[in-house]
Amino acid sequence: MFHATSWHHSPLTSRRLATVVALLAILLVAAGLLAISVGSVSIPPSTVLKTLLGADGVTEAERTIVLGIRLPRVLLAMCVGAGLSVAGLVFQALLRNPLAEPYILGISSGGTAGTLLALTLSLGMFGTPVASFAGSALVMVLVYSVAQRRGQIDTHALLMAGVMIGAFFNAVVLLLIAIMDRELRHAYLWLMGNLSSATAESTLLVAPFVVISSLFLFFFAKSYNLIATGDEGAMQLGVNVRTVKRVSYLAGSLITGLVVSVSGVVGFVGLVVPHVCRMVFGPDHRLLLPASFLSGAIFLLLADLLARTMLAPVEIPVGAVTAAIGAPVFIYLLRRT
Amino acid sequence: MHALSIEALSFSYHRTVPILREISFAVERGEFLSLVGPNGSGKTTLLRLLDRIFLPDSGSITLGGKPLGRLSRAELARRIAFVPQDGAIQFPFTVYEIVLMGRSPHTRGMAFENAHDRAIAREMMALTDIDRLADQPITKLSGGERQRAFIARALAQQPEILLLDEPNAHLDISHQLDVFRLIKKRNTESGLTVLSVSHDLNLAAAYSDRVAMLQQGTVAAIGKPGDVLTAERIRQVFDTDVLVDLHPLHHGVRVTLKK
Repeated sequence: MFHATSWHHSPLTSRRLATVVALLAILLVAAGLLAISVGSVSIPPSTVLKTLLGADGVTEAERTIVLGIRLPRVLLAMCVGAGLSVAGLVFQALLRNPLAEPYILGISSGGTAGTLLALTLSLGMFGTPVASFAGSALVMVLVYSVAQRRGQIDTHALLMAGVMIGAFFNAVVLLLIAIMDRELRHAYLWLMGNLSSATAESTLLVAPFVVISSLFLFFFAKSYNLIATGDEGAMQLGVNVRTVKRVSYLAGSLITGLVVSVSGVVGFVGLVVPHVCRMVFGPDHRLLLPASFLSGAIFLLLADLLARTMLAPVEIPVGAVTAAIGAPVFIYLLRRT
Repeated sequence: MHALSIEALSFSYHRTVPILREISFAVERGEFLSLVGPNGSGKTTLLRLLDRIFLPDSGSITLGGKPLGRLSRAELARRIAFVPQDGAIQFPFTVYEIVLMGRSPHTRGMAFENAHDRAIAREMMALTDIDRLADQPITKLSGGERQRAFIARALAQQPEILLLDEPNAHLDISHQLDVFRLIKKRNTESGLTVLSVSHDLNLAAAYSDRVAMLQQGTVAAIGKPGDVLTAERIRQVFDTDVLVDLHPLHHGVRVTLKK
């Protein structure tokens, strides 16, 4: 169902891996500089760079805008995009289904419910991500057990289970909002997937987990290749399939939960980014994983730039932008599966 | 020493539905053994137990004198390769990439496949006659081509023992012969021990050194094809009336339906 492209006709080498990662990293830095320089007050990229490097010749106002306002938001966008893309990619490999994605599987909704519950109970800065992770992991387990029949995961059962369990957790979310009506508006915006409340603290909380979890998952990249061709085939090639799956589902849910706790539900990122990466770079997860991480960061960075500049001074939630791009891609993929 | 030795092996699903009941037999080094029997007689389950995809309820399997449970998954993958009946693959790995995966039990951790691994993968693609498809995505292949790609992947593992689950399930008659010939060639020339589940009694008779006939989770008979594949036993085990005579060309047994 996917076509091999000119980029992908011979098996992956460490050299190609290094080249692609370096190129995407350069693109990411460029996109980051662009996103920091654009806004209600535009600051030239050269000034942005100077500010970031701590050089002289920068006004106090510029320093505040760059370091205090835009940098945390840009970094958060990167983390959210990278995390959701990696989680989506891993779920797709394990379920052998290119349609699997944190939002579609309802895992994001579970995370949202967990986050709101934590806010209602005032669990605080560290309690919130933990509750968010618990909500995501719970939905992952539920969807998996509902969609499983005699050890096989049926695509339609999986998608239906994701949508339905997601709908249930959305109902929980609405209920929680009704209880905490004072913050209704804030919560509503947050639900749509929004990075406007980005702070240095939330970025610092999420970034290390997303980076470390992704690095950790990278060590399973070879196993994902084998699992993507079948569980028994992977076992007979020496993979401890049960262990790899358990740990990966857990890490994927952890990433999703953490990301949701700071950004709300940003849908379809984990679908669009791995799909495009697979088309361009081929299906080898040793390349796909770092490529999806970096491309996801770039994608959400640009989507958020669009969200805050398109109708300025009004900001639209970044979740609306990703859904507008992602829903057609999902339908296209569904038609081809 | 036996390549594989199975003793009093029992297995049941959820410990309630017995599939295999105290099976015992040994496979000799370099032997080509076919497992035949009706649907549900436990053939595929036995293969899965032999590659530790399932764990037995009781009994033991020893590989070259060593209990199977003592080997790590990777070590097992270097010694036994299993070609399962194929499922659909959603991701566009090329045939070359699929065959290279067979080298993963031999490459350490994160390391990439080296020139030696690539040479082996190419050799196995040539052997299974899929080298011209090397750059094609596996998703675009016919059932027969896909089957051969997975056999090539298993051979790239360079195992001592090859387990095949109905290698001819999706193949037309010419490709069935091709697959059996190439496996037989590997068997006679490289001493590869082969255990193959087969529904085709004639192919089993023509290519195997011995045949084991399974019936409701027990070994009904094991021995030379001519001794096992008798009309009387096939009627008992398969509940089908057949004519068994000698093949006019290779003088092995030939099984034909009476109607």
